[in-house]
Amino acid sequence: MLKQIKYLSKIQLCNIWGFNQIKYGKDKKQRNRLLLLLVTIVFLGLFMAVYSGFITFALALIGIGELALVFMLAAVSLLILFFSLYKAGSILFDLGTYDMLISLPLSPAAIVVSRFITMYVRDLGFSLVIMLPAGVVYGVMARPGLSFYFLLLIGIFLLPLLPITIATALGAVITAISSRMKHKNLVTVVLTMLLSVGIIVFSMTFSYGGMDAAGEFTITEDMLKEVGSLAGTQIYGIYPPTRLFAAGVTGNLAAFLGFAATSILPFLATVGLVQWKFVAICSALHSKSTGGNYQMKELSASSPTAALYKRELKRYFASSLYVMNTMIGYVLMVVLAVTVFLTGAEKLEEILQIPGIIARGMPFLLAFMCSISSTTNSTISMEGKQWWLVKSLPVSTRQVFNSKMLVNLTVALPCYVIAVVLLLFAMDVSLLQAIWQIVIPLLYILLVSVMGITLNCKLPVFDWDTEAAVVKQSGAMLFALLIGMVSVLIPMILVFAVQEPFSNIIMVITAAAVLIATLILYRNNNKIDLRDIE
Amino acid sequence: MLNIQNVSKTYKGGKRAVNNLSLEINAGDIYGFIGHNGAGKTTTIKAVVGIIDFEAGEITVDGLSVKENPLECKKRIAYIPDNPDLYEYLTGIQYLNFIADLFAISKQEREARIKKYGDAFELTTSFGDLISSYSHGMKQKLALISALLHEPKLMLLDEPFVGLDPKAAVTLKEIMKDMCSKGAAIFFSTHVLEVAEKLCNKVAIIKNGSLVISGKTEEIVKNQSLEELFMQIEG
Repeated sequence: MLKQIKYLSKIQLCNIWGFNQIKYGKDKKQRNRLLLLLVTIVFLGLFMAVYSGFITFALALIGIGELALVFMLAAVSLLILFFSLYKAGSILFDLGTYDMLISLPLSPAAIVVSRFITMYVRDLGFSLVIMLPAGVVYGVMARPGLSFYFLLLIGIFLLPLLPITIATALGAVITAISSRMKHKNLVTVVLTMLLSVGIIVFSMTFSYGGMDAAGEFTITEDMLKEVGSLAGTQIYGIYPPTRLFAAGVTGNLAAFLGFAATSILPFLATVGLVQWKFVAICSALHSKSTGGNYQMKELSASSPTAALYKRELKRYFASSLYVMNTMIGYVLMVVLAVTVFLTGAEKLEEILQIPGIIARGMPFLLAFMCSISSTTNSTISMEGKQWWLVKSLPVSTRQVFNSKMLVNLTVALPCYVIAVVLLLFAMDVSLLQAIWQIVIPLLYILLVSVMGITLNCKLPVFDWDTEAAVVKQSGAMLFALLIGMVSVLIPMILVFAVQEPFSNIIMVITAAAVLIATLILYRNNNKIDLRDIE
Repeated sequence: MLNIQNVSKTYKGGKRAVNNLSLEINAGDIYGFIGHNGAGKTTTIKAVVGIIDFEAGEITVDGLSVKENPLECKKRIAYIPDNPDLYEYLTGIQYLNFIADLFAISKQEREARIKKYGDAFELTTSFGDLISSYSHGMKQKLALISALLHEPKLMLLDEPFVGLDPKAAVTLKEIMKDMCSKGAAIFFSTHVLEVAEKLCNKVAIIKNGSLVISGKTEEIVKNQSLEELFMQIEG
């Protein structure tokens, strides 16, 4: 069995982040796309490493450097949990290769273990880029004994195990529940969305709780120490392995062994459980309900645009991954609005110690959440092998693109309306501020709907094996995120840099610029020949 | 019905898939398009349908240029690829309804035609199931039914008989003959030379992107079989 695990892992890991395709692929476009993805991953990794080192340095300066390790461990665990929650089901129960593998002389256990190894190696990256710089900086500042470095290194490799276990357990439960149901995708989307929102709210709760306990404060070293200690205590209570890790790397061997046990044992138990039920779950996922008893009924006719829109909507909701990755921003918008509504804007401004920040910043915060969420960023790529169908049909480019943009609007607008209504009730804003709160996010929703089409036309990917390749890793998606973020940050910074009424002028300019950009992109999109998109 | 004039298509990387090809398909023709793998058959068909562009020449369908009037041409055409990748998340009937909407087929007409062709291909009872649950042959049949809904004037098929069971293959041949007797034209590529010889009144053989021979089947074949002729051409 070890040999089988070795062969399977090798095959899966050789193409991690597309390495094998870059090495052997002859399609220049695909190679460049993968290289761009790699470069982006490296860039993000460097950014996280620098950020981690900087935070550790700052905390070590005021004498609470070991808390930095705790914070970083919690951050890594949360990141792995959040990202693995989406991936766990699709990696573990990848049906694309299931038929081929299960027909070979391989044990299901070997297949399962090799897939866990793949997930582990991917997530180890988070652990390395965040914990290693933190550990090095702490080592330089606090000068611990030699055992610290040794235990830290082991700890870094053990760290991903527990979050993967939790994510896998939750992901497997979701998959197992949905596999028994007719509307598998809908159930998966709802359950995963509830869990994701739960994780986000949970993470907000303990960080908010830590700040709340500090009360009123001016930024002094003592207050920072107190806030840090309180936050650390909160984290220990919510995620006990952090306490074991912190104690372990600073000299308590028993605590470190406890950390190792809490990481390794649940992981092994989960692997055992998944491999025991693996064939049954995959078979259930494989099965498609067929009635074979259809009788002709009265049919309804629609216009071509309506027909395209209905089809696009069905396509969207047929993919839980697509929905999860594109709806999360809009859902966060609603979560934010509910939080402000329940907490009160004034209290939040008190905590942040910047008067008016919520009122002035809210339009951009909402716009930011919209800019990370458009369904159109990958809508053309998602056509995949069916792209020939659209091109062969008697429909214009405008009709095709309009139907795709309508899906984004269908998803975004209800969340936008709920969020804006709640915020207007919760916040004491002037008429102008209320107008910006309504107009700015709406314009950004329109902009990202159109811009997603533009970018996806320029960077389409049709030869994908998994939807994750286009929904999470495509060039169009990455560029859309970057451009969206920058387009929100720049005016936001300017608004905070100037006083009123100049900030209103910035708002007007921003609104006009976004509207003009939207119209220009929309017009240019409609001139595209679909045959040129390949 | 279909006029392909001096059409050339070169892919990125320099591969010339179609080289100065000229063909004419008239109303009533069942035209067989034969060639080795990679000869340029699929490229030619896709250029006619409007899936890919071409850098030289002209293609007209019923007098309309596919470059200048693509939508009008597509309304007259039906296309079935060799491996129809359909929308797996739709049921058969949803897919047919979708196609009918795009071709603006009235409610009554679509109901009648879906029933007619669904029964002919024995697929009606599976219309309520997701396409993802269909076998390859069932998907092929569904693609055929969807192509026939708008009564196309020109039907382009890429290897239509691959994956069809014998009964469905007979049904398809009968439908083809019926369409052509009413003034439509059929242009299809195939590797099954016996079918081409029996079914097609005209054939064209393409080799390495260039047309080698075309015309009425009995004039081209003369005293040998189409297979023998093809093997001679291939060398």
